[in-house]
Amino acid sequence: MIRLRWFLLAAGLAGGASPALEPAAADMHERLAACTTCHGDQGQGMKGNEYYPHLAGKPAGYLLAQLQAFRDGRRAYVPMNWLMRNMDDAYLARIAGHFASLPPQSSAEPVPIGAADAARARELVERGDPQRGVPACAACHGVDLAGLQPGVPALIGLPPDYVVAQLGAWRTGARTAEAPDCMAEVARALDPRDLRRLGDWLATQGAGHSLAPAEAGSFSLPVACGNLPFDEAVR
Amino acid sequence: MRRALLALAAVLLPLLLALLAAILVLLPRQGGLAPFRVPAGGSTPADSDALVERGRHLAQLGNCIGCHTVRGGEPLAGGRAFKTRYGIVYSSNITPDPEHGIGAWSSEEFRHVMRHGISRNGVLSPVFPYANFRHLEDGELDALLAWLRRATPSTATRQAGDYRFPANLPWAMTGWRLLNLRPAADAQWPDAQIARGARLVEGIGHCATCHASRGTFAAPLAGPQLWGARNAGWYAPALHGPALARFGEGAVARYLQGGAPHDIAGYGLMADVIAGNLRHFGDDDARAIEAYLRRLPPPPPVREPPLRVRASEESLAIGKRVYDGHCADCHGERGEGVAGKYPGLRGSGAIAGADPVNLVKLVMLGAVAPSTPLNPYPYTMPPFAHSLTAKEVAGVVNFLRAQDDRNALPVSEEDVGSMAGIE
Repeated sequence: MIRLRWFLLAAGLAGGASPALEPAAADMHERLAACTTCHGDQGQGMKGNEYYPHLAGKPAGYLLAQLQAFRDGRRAYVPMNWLMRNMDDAYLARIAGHFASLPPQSSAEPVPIGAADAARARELVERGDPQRGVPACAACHGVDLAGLQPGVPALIGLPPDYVVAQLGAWRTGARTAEAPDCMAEVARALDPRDLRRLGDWLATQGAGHSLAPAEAGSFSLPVACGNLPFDEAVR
Repeated sequence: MRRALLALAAVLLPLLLALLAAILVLLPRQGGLAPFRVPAGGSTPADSDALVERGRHLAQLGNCIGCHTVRGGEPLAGGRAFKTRYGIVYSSNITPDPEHGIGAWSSEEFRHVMRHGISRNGVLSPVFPYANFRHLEDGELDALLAWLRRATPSTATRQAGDYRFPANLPWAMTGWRLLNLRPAADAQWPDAQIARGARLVEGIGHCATCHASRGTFAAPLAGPQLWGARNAGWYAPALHGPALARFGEGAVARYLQGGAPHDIAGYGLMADVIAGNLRHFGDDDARAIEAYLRRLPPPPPVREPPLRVRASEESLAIGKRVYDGHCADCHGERGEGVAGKYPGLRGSGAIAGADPVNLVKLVMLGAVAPSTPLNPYPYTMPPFAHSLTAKEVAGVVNFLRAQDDRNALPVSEEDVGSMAGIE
């Protein structure tokens, strides 16, 4: 059950303005100095900084939704809100397409994590927390946690503080996604003590990651998320 | 007892007479009693598609939505805060809600408030640029109202201004009008194109709101004196013939329409203005604005004592090092830029301007021009707030400004901190 909007999105990524003004792929890199100064020359993110995650190889649909959210104020981070302010959907779609097309890589580094915390994080990732109504991370983000085209991002390769901050922002409503906002529900259902465990464990899995997100439709999500394809039968 | 009353009268009477005399002298200068007679009743504009379309276009040129909408909020529901020297003013709800908005207003009342700044809600703050909107014709104002009446109604309530003394006194706005508002006859321009530009700049475009400073107690200056001013934290540069001479013919028009002539495109608050309104100007309007602005004379020269404060050699050396390491890749070793991509820096308004604030913000926050049909995928200027220290930013700002003018007033680390905010 793929919805029409994703086809439109894909068409939007392919189509665009008049040919004379059409930037080539190499040219996009020259245009996006404002992105690469923090997110790395090849979109690999910045070492040692929790707020500059990698962009390389993330699903284009996910990246576009984030850029739009920064522009329209559904995600709050002043430097991003400022730069996106007057960008239209066509440009944001190109930027998303540009970083999505780069080979996945991340400069995030593993952090030390105790055995008990690691075991709990792994349990959440693989089986979730049925008592609290938390689905397994892997059910949506893939068994290799590399994400799913076109809208589910990888969970590996992210700085640990970034993961904790995002889950916290979803709990407080500072970060929102298109309804139904599945991640807000998941983040609110989580035991607060599990946020740090998840962040640290995921960062440890992601060191030097180079996995591309799974092809669209290669598995179905067990929960409704925004307008992503979702299969109630899997539930 | 009687003597005491007489003595009091002897003191008070001359005072009252003096006040009366002052009002009698000042009242005609701001337009007599007519502005205070808000029309009651009257007609509403026809709800025709053609009129609404004309109003929509005018509203784009005037950026009604920009000031009357909180970012991310209900369009035209007001509430956006404007910080002024005399307190914070909030824009009002101009949606067609009959109670909280202007749904119950007639064409006559709308024309009246647009020209005189006085409505059923009282004498409005001069943040509302009614001194400009009085240049609009009845038909244009009716079109604007017709368009506004089709907006989605909002029940957002009016927020009273948060004024400081003396603006918080009763009758303060009336007093302000008497003392400061001096509507002058429009200048006559024999050339039709320039007259058209003048109408747009001085009327619906209300460029003076940002590009001109105001006198004491925010008095509007007489005539077109777009001599540059710092407003809402940014410096809106001077607009007149000599100031625009470095741009080729047609470049100003193209810039206003969202293009990037000389690889220069709108940044800062001007990017919002271009994205929100100016990009909707047709070629004829944009050219007319350019012709008019180029005809405006520069301000009379000010004889200032020579400035003795210059950037230190240390700061300039730091600036040169930062420039070579972070700026030269795109802007060239000698600031020559890369044609078609990155702007040259020689003579740049942000560098050579009177106020360094825009350059500080550009370096700290980066910049992206609005995407428009003329410039759909703008080149982007990276922010450096995360990678340079305040000392380094001050250095590169001083280095660039000293290239243009050895005597440019330097900025300090503290200045960088205080100037680097977004608004």
